[in-house]
Amino acid sequence: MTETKINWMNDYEEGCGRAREEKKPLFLDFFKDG
Amino acid sequence: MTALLNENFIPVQVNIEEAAKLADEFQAIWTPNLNVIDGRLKRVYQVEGWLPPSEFVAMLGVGRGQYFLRGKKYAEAATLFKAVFEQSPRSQFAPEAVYYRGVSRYLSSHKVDELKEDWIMLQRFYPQSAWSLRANIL
Repeated sequence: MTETKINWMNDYEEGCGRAREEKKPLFLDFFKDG
Repeated sequence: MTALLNENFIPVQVNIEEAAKLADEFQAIWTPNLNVIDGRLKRVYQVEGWLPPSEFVAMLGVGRGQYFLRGKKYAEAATLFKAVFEQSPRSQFAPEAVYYRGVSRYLSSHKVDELKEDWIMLQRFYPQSAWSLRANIL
């Protein structure tokens, strides 16, 4: 079985550009280490 | 959950301490802090706190529904909200989905009967929900 992973991007601006291009909502997850 | 996120959203993850300016912009003070952002860079949905996988999936459905609802794509929104309460009827997000399915249908048709149909269902199946209380106006 192939395990898939979430294709997280770490650059918000780049994500906004892709969201506009692909006409999809951006899912923004703020996290904290530890 | 992974496929749902990869296929229907552009997932972006940022450390709240490293992205302090962005966190301030979105008034993010607590993590996990999950936001659905539209093409105008407006937040259309937000959830704070950890969710188990099944609830996360339902939350994604409601968030995506809000994306279409706020973009005035009411039919798409109604379909997504319906899918949430049909596929996850026991989810804490199900009553919210029923509420907004009614809103989506009403904004599309301006027929109050369509709103009533969903909101009556909401009060019947989720009487203790805060969303049921909000629908108690009819």
